[in-house]
Amino acid sequence: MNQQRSLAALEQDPAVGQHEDVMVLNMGPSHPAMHGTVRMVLTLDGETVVKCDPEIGYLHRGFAKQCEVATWTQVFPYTDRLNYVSPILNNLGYAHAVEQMLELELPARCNYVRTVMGEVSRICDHFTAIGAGALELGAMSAFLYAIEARDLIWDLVEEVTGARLTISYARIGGLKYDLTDDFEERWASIEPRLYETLKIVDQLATKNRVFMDRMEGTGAISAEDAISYGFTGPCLRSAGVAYDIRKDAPYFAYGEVDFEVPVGTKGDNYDRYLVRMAEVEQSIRIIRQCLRNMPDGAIMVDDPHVALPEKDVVYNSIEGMINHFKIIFEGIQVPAGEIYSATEAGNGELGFYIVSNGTGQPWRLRVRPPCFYMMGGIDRMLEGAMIADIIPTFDTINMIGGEIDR
Amino acid sequence: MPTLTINGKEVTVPRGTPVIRAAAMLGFNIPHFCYHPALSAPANCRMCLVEIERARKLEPACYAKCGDGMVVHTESEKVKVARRAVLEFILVNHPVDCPICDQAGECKLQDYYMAYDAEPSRLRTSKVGKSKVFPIGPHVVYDGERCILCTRCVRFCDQITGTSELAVVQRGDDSTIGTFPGRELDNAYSMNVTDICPVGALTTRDFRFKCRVWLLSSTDSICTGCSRGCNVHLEHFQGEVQRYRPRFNPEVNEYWMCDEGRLSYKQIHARRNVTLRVGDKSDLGWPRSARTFGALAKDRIGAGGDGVAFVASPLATTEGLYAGRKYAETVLGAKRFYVGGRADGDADAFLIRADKNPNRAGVTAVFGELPGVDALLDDMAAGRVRALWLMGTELAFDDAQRARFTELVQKLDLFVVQSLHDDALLAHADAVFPAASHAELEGTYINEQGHVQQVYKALEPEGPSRSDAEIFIRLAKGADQPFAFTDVDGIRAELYDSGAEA
Repeated sequence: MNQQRSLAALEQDPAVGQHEDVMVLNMGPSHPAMHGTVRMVLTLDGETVVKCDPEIGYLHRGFAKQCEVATWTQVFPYTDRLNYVSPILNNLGYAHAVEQMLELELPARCNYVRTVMGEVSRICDHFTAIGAGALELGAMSAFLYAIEARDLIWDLVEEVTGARLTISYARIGGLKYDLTDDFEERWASIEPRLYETLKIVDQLATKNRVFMDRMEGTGAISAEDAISYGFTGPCLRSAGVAYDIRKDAPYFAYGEVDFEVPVGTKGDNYDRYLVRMAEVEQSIRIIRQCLRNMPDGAIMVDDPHVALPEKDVVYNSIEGMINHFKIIFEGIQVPAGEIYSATEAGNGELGFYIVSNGTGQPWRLRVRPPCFYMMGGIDRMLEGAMIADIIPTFDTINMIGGEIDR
Repeated sequence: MPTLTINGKEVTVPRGTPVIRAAAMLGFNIPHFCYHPALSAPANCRMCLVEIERARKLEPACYAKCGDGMVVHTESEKVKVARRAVLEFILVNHPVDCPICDQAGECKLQDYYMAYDAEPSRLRTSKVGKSKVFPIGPHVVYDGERCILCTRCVRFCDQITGTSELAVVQRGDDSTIGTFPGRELDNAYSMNVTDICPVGALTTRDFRFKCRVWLLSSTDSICTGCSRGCNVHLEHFQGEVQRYRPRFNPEVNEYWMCDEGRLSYKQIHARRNVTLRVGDKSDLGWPRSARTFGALAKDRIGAGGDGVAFVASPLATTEGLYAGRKYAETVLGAKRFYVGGRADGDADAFLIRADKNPNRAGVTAVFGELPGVDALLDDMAAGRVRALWLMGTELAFDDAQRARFTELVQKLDLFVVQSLHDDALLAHADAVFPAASHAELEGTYINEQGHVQQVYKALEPEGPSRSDAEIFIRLAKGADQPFAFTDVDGIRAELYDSGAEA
């Protein structure tokens, strides 16, 4: 044991304060900024990150395996828990994949309602990402305003779906509920407040010197690198690549509405923040157009092999009873085959790779969550950065523990 | 040998083959209710109608015989419309019973409705009511409303058992399956009608409301009720066997099994012996019990000799018997071998055999011909036996013999019982080893025809019980004379090498 030396003695020793070796530091998994689900093994030279080695796997529920023992419909609650900030988008992405295997033609109203609820969910996702990101840089007020906006949206979602977080709103071939009668009214009442909130957050953060210093130029990635890592969503668009599945391969009602795909230039934290802010506005535009052009009609396909019959038919006729029984106990019979289907979720391309063997349960189901690939590229974004840059970078890629469940 | 074309594929079949079989050979499944391969084809359900070119109208595929140059379509639009119509007609009077029906989940009506109809009801009047929950026999309940009058059950009683208890009575809407006055469905194979009933009209009283069928796991097994060894699906849920269903084996039982055998699954869980005891110690666990018993046996009988007897069980698997013989000869040093087992019972000319033990042929294959328990009792009374290993407490004694036997075992130097079930004899034993049932082990039985039939492990052994083979392997190890094999596969390798298998 070294003998303890006085502070004065230490100050005079020329060797103290000099370092030659790098230091290895574990950040997380119990670090609040790591969400309890990620560990970063940092190799530090002083405060500079020499190497950053992210480790996932602290959250593992076996999503893919669970789905193999559930019927096609029973998978929905599991998808809620992928990106739990925008569960509807996951529900819809999964439903869309299975519907393509079944070659279903959805009613027009279903597509419009899905678009509306999906965009509502996206606004919620972006507000949460922006707010929480600001909070971790110390901007408490911006966070509170963003969360207020999110709460308004959750009230709306609750009114339609009956739940706030674990929603399971989609069904194969349609939706669980139609929009409420007063949905347009409710939307009209919260829309101005959402704009207002966006403006307040903008005033609080966008030109804030401290915020800019932390965000600008940090965690940057080039368009080339971003594509090669498989980045999608706001993270890719912030680097200047206008890739948005809603635009490039339209589904639901996205082909029939007018909206822009905001892009950045530098691919740094600041651009990612700005892209999200701009996307909220675009989402509001989409919702407004959809509500204006909302067609009448059913929200479920009219196919007894997919849609459950009405309850009074189930209880009062053997035909309805058998129909209900077979769908509930054996599941919807999806033809054998495989598919990769992707939709634009809050963080980017949410893909489902599904193999069916022609029974009522998926044979294999793998999810391609958007932020898994951002986590794969974070070491590149943080190379040579300061420790303090880890926090905003980790926030703007919007890592969601539920999605990177591996 | 006519050659015909079905859905564009050509097939050559023996003369007299119904179209439905020829289609099945090509992989085309034609839906049917009344047709059963083991029964005659009355073509009354009309579900299997197919289009045969140049025929005047649609023909039932179960009844129409294949002809040379026939061109058959099983999925044409006409056929589909006909199937929909047939199903709608059958469902008109069908009650909304799925939630309370034992057949739900394995019901052909459900399967076919979804596959071939899926149209909503157009019924605007009330359904015709009929008798429900009618006990048509000691083991079977009949529900007239669910019945689609396919007459499979009637033909089963006419053509398979030859007892003809059932008939269709009344006419038109009122038609129902009934027994002749004063009779009931009480033949020894009555529960087979519940298997062949395509809907939930006939259900077994034993399985009624016991378990939903989609919860069951199924394991291939063998009925151990008699020496016929009927092949069964052993169906279990949460560690408990819920029912047997006959498994098709054209060599042994075809599609059928007897009622007594079907209910014999209950013995798997009833009165189980779960005592592992050596001397007065019943809390040692297997490894210490095996060592303690090794020492005890050495102390009581030394290296064995003429006074050491071993009673083999014809209820055990061949592998268990082989391990038992090896243990008895090399570890115990037994010189006297007997065969136990259940007493003979009723027999008939179909499936039921008088020998109620599933593996007597296995005993003969492993040990050769052995004297029975009467000889054992004589030898014990004459003092020629001083130590006895009893494999299975099933012994064909009458009351007086059993009392005498119970008295005699108490005078032995060493008395060991290895049994599946609890028994009064266990109290007098110096050591008790609990055996696993055939649902809890892997092994083979040799039936009276000489077929070697395998059972597979469906459940974990109850409590400390272990398969016969494992018991002997453990005890041999406990006596420091371990066998070369350590599992069933090892036993089989040795068994087949030695050529002992029948």
